Amino acid sequence: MSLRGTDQYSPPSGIAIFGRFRTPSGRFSDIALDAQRLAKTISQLPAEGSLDQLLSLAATAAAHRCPPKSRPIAIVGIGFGPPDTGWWKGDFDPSKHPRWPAKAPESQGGRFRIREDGGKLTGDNVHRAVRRLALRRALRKVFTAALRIGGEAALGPIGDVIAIVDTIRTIVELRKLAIEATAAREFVAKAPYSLDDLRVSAELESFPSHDAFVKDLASIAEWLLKRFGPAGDGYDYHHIVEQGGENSEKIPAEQLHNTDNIIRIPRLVHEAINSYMYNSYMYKKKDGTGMTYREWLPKQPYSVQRATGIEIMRDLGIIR
Amino acid sequence: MDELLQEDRIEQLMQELETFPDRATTASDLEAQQRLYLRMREIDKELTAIRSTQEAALNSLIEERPSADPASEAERIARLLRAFEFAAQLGRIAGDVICDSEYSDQWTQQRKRIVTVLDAVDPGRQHLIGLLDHPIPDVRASAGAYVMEVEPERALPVLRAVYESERGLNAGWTAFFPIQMYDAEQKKQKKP
Repeated sequence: MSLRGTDQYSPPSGIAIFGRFRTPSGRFSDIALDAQRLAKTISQLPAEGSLDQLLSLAATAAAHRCPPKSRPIAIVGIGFGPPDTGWWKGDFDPSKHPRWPAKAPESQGGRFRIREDGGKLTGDNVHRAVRRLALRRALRKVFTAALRIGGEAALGPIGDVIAIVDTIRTIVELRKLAIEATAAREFVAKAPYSLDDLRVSAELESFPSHDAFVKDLASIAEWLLKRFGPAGDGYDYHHIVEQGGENSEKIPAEQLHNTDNIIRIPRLVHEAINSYMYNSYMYKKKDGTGMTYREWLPKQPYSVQRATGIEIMRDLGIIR
Repeated sequence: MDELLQEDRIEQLMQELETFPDRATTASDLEAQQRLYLRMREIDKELTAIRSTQEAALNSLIEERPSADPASEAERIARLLRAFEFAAQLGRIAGDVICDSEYSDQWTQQRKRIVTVLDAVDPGRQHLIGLLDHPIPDVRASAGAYVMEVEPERALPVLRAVYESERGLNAGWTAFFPIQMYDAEQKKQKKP
């Protein structure tokens, strides 16, 4: 197929191009490609561009829309019938979220499953997964805090004032989150990193001693700030081996607060890592005794805690 | 019970929610900000309603009374296992779609309740061993986490396989914690 004249290309009305993705549950999800963006990309093809090239561009565009933890499997073109054919179901706007009907055989049969990699998250999918994990977790927090207050609001004029204050406060939180989400998005796009890439200093530097810490500085945060400056907008300093709790008493300060144990990462990614470090899974032994993961981890030696911290970052696709 | 999972709808709501930080940045007047805030409340209401329905369905299965009639009792156990599968799938949606540890913990607690009920009739957890071959990795991993406590040698290969194939996903994390705790404890015991 020649693409001559594609600078005027626009998808004919009634036809949409979708990326088809396999979700973690094994279902299929079709997501429409941005027609305008696709048209713009296609217009950059040489006039003698082939159908293969067109499909390759569509595949690339579709890959960018791949939902986190899903896998791209096919490009699908669909022609729509008039609205009264009853093709679409549900209460959402199909022009914004077009998709196959829930029980369409094509979306259930698995016939288009063309990529099998044993279920492993690879490349871009890992990026999307951690980015989504980070953002959605943070959103839920803003969301829960806002609604807790809103839910208690009084009726009448006082209620109106509370609602306005709460709205403004929520918007401020969401805007802060937009900055953090950008930091996380940009960071994750370049992942995986080596651990050295994330260290605050290539040299091994440690806080001189616990006594010096108590005497000279109010907190480790102050030491970090003084020595390395602020972590930056949307960023945090992260201790691979947790600095608080039991560790602050059993592990020497120099071992916890050194450049081998402290890395600089986006706040949202930091919170996602911590959510796994503090997991509530409980393992009971045969004798009936047991403890949760979050109780168990700090009781382990430094080397086990460090290996765990690194393993979690590796599983999240942050480091190699 | 699959229709109660509502995964597609939850994914739609979460995708919409993801647009909120950017929309909040561009919403300059109070009216637009209030619209955004109200929409947030609607989304929460819908997510809460979905969650309540799921919880009610699970509770009705878990709280069923034991029966003296063997046939009815076998049916009750089958329903409890179905409830376990359902709770494992809800855990996957909480971990991979909603990405909320509070949600995940809730379904972990429900699985624990089911196992406690099952333990009264099957302390060796043979019924859960049957779920180690389940086609859904989250169910295999969830069952494996409890089988670990009675027959680690049966559970470990399943958990390791799930961890290898599902790293970074809910099923992978569900397998990760028991494996890690078990391995570290074993290493400790081997040390003189």
